[in-house]
Amino acid sequence: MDAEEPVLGSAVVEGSAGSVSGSRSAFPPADVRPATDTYDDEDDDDGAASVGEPADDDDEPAGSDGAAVLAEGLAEAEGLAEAEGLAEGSEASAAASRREAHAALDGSGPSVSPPHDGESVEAIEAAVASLALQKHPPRARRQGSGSPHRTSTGDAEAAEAGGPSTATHTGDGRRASDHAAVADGGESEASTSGAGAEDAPTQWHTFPRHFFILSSSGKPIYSYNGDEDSLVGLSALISALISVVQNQGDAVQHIRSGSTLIVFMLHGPLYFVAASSCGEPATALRKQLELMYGQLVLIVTTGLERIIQRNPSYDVRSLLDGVGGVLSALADHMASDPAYLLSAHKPLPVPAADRAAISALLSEAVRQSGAVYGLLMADTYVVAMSRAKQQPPLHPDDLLLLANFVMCNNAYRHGHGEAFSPVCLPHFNADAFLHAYIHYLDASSGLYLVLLSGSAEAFHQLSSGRAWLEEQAAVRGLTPRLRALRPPEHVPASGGAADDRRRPPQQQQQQQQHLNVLSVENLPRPLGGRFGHTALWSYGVRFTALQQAVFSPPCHLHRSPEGAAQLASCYAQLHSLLHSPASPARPNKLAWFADSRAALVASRERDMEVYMVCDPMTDKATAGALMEALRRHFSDRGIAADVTLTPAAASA
Amino acid sequence: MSTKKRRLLKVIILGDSGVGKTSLMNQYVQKKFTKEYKATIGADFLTKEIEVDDKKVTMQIWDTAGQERFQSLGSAFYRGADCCVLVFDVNNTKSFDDLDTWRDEFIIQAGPADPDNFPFMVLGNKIDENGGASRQVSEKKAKAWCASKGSIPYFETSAKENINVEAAFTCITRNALRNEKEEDIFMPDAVDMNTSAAQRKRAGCC
Repeated sequence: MDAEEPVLGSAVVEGSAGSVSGSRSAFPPADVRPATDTYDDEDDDDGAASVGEPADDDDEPAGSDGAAVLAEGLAEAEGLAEAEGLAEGSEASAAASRREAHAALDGSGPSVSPPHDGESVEAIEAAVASLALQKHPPRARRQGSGSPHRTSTGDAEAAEAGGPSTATHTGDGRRASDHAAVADGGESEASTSGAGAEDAPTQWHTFPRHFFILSSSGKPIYSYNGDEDSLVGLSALISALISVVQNQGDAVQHIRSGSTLIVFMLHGPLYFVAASSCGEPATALRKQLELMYGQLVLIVTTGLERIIQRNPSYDVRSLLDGVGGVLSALADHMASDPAYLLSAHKPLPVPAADRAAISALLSEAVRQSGAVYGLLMADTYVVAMSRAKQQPPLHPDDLLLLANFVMCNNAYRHGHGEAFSPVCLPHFNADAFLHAYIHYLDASSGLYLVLLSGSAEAFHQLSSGRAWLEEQAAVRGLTPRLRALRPPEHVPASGGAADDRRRPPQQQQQQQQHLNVLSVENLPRPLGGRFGHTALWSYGVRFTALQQAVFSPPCHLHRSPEGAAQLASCYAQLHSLLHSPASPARPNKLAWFADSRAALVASRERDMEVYMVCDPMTDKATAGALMEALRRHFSDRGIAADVTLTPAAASA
Repeated sequence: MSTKKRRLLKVIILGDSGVGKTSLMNQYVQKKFTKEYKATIGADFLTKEIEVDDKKVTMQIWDTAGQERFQSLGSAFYRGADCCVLVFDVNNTKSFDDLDTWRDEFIIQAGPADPDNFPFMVLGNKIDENGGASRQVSEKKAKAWCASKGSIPYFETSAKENINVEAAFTCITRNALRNEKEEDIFMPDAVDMNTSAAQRKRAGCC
């Protein structure tokens, strides 16, 4: 591995066993205390590097399974010519920030030196660097901490600042054109010439996360940041990158460049790409891409893929007006709420008796209206769910995507009425639509009812089912209690505290009441307690058999958007540690990772997965004790009854 | 198609090594010309935004490597192209003879639904060289070839002197827009509740 370590060292293709690997920059180098307690008690024998082997999820589990389809070919220099080609093409934007790479590539025609490993690596690096450059924000700016700690970013910035004078001729020319494209695309942005063109791409760099969707012909479909129009050149480059690897009978999985991880996922003629410097492992980003694909399918079904297959040059954007907002909302959600990782329903804590009552009503409403599914939700949290006989349980991912879709459409919430919309649940049937009847029971708390039916004619039936449900809830005195339900506000986008103050005190109290069962503060000692009195900061519990998960409401450290994002990335890291065993035959039961920010612990038992984020000073013994206490706490039937949906109620 | 969105056209430029593909593109997009020759490796991607007949268009130009050994980006190159520009050097008979190969290659790789009506374009480049003294391929000969391939439009260009470059690309854009297919109205099925219950695979809660 070392032998192949690229000279330049920052842009690295992470391959399967034997290919180039390296930079572990996702982990802070100085105070890493990595170790993974797998069954065979693999431990930290050689410091930071060890984390890479058994547990570092940035790598696919090395050589453990089919994951070996990485960019192996790319890294291993058989495809030298292609690699060079890419690098050269991509220099359009890389602005020749690496002279070495350039030197290897610039030679015209026959003068290109004979292939050897190092050169191929450099070529790839240049390609990657350009991708990263396009997308890579200076970390310092994002986090507000002023230390530029990555040399490659530094170089890039320098090249950026230096402009054409530092670039070779071709690099210069193409770069300018790329800039022009970016500036033009923005329309409102500065002119295409001179300083204006230099400024436009800089704004791209301020984003730590990017999602792109493109078609296999290299036409852009969606971009999380900015207008996909301005990505015309980049999306061509991405499709070429993918094609080069495909040509070798392989598939590119992910590429690491400095602290930026670029993950690829292909669905037929649709390409999904995530680039993040937030520290999420590849598995988490891939799951996010899968959900974005699911969200796309939820709105247009897989018919979209069939259209592109039939007509590869089709500009898909014409079909997808307005869909970008839904995708971006999903991306925002996943950045702050780690629950998506667990593929589990998120029940809203409700006193068991209330939940039983409302679940019974919902089941009856589903039966009366001939719906296939009935859901009572608050944001992405489930209050009650029901399904018709003979229907499979709803997949948790489908539910998340449906909830995101509903929440994105303000008209549903503030239209004071009923809505009827075709939706496709990807795990239920990805090729066809169901019809969703959507009605907010309470626009202020965000409590809504969704009834799903297979028939486009079902509106009136579903509507009367809903009317019956509301009437019965009122008769039984459930309505005020339902209206008092509040989803935990995990992302106070514009200051959650202010939000609380606006609310009448009585409501605040009620919110407290139903959420406090999950708050760390209210757990029994020594597990719980005020912040600082317990090592536990945050936890998540997945009830395996129920396919449900609960998370503690965030402590004050994690209430800002940055804090929430950091917490989510902790959970992503932890989840990946636990689920990426060194050998598939021996799954990890315990994962432990600590750095200066937090100590992360996770354990997996047959019935329950427990994830904990603790004070960084926590030692393993304390963490183990907390873990055990947390598991005991949630094994208690009384507590489980309030925080989960009972299987019976869910499927009655 | 949303009227606000620009149309996006994928334009592929093919031709022998050294006929001036990259120079044409640079002249068109950046109004620059350089005498230095540097082989394109793999591909260059350029974008240009223009307005043709009141339509806003973004051109995604794929400038490919002419050298055989770099012909390995695979089918992504050709897939979904809206038009294809074939370039030869009027001072080089072989580059003209090879147009057949390039055209065939494109049709095989891209597999356009209707190859005979796919918008190709032929550019005879370097007409400025030696004031035309070293010319080997006559305009007549080139036009005859174009006519035999389903009247492909033909332009004589000089990337160096910026002759006909703009006109050629405008013509390309028009032809590509004309060829743009309207996709059928998108109408996915509704779930047939009688068959969809087959997916009952997971036990446990819901």
